[in-house]
Amino acid sequence: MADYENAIEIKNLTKHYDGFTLDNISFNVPSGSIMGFIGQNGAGKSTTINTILNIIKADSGEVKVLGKDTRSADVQIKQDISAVFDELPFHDQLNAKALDKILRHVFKRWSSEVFYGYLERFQLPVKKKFGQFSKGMKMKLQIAAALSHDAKLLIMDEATTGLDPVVRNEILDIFLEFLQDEGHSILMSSHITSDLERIADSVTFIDKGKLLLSGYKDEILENHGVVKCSKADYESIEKGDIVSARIGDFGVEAMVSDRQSISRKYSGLVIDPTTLEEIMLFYVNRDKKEWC
Amino acid sequence: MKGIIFKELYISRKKIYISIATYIFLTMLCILVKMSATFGNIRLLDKESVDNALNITFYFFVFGLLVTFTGFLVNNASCDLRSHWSIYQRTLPFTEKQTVGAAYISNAALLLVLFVFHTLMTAIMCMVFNMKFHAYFIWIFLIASLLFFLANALIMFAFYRFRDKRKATLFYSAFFVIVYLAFAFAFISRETYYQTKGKQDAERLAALQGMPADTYSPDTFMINYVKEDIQSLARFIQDYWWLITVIIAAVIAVLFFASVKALARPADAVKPSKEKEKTKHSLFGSLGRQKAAAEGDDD
Repeated sequence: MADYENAIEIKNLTKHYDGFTLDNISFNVPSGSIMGFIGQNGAGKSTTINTILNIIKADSGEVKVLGKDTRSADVQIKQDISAVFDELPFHDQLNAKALDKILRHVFKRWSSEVFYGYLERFQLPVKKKFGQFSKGMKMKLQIAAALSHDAKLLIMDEATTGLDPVVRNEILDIFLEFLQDEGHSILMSSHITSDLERIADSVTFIDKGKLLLSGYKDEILENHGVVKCSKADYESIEKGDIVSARIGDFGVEAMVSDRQSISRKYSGLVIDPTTLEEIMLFYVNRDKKEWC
Repeated sequence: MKGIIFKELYISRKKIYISIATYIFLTMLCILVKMSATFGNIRLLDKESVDNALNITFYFFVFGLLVTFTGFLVNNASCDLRSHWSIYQRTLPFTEKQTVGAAYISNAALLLVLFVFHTLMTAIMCMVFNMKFHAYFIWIFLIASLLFFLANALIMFAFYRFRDKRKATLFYSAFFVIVYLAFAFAFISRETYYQTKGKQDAERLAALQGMPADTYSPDTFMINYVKEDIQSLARFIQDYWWLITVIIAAVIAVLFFASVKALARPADAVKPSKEKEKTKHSLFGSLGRQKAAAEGDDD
């Protein structure tokens, strides 16, 4: 039984770069769940993930992983964490056999059996050099390595980007298997919102370094909706009631963040269910308010 | 740390195999010279030429082959940067001390093996070439090994400090050029001194014998000065090998801690080079890509 409620706790995380600021980000990844981390390019997803992994140092704020502050935690906490990145971080000259020999002496709970089992499942060659692997093979290899030392937390940064749907589907199934253990958690950043809709329990949406939404995926999808109406009807809607609106030639689509109260307020309006992708699209354009 | 040591040795294995092959090849060449001097074409030359050939070959083996030690040294800091392993290892459960320590331990172990092996081979070659095994051989092997270790540690520090191949190469190249120039300057100064002193001694000898001043060539005396200097150096190394070892070891220790400190800095502590800024979709979007961030393209 874990002695922490959240696998990851982020409080007021701030990081400045020239021209970009990760501004006071706070969210939690509950233990035993999978959180989707969404945002467009340049939103700050990788910056946040790199701070969680202690690859970069935040300017201020607190990050706790598996109940321990990352700044002061013993390096041994990394025994329980696996990171998967969008590019393979292993030398091209290595092969799976050599990687097994390396990581066997790095992770206390490394299981060569499990690793080779994943290699077989993913149909990855054991002696072929990584430099000769395709992108899909490299990603599967990373995931095989990440899942072979009984990690409690899997952190993935665009791990499924660039993979074909078949491979992505396979990998998502493996993540669901990983989560069968209640002590396991996943933080997964991705552009592919359909993947997150399929497996995520909660989502966090970040844009231009600011946190826009964070919560249970089903609740977010339930609360948000798209109003499809004519331009005349759109004029009757108060602008404060919508996130943003896409103005087309024949009508308007407007995102609302509280379907229940909006449908009570504007009884004639039809509010359709929405998707994470649409939510992302409308929130990204929230400053413009009206766009096309 | 075993895992990282294995990784260091595995990545360097090609270089090590090539160095082994080079050592064996050069050793065989030396043996061939000896065989030629005993049974072959070199035997047909006059005794002085044969002795010179054997001397040069012997000392080439003893000191020249020390250079092959550099091929055995492990230094994968550059490869780690290129493959992004240097970022991945920040997520692994070992400290910067262990990372740098693994490379140092690998090098120390390899150099120790080489030191022992080359000492034994030198002893064998002394028997083959009928040469005397001098104690100072061991001190020179030891100091040479330490100097190679030191040079490798400096190169490693450069990569950890700058995290950029170009800057690191510039740094350690500049350092070695300065050292080379210092030695070259010292050598030229010493040679000038030899020439002056040689000329004076030649003129003095000629004057004592009542002969013209240019009777004797200064070169004859210069060779003796060089021999004296080499013997002094050998004696110095023999007497103070422990002091030289301590000094080199102290510098290596300083480089170790400096490397650990350099490695411990966050991944974005180093400003990006122009090459890095070009790759906008690199692995770790936020790392040093400040220009990309300003364009709103920081992941």
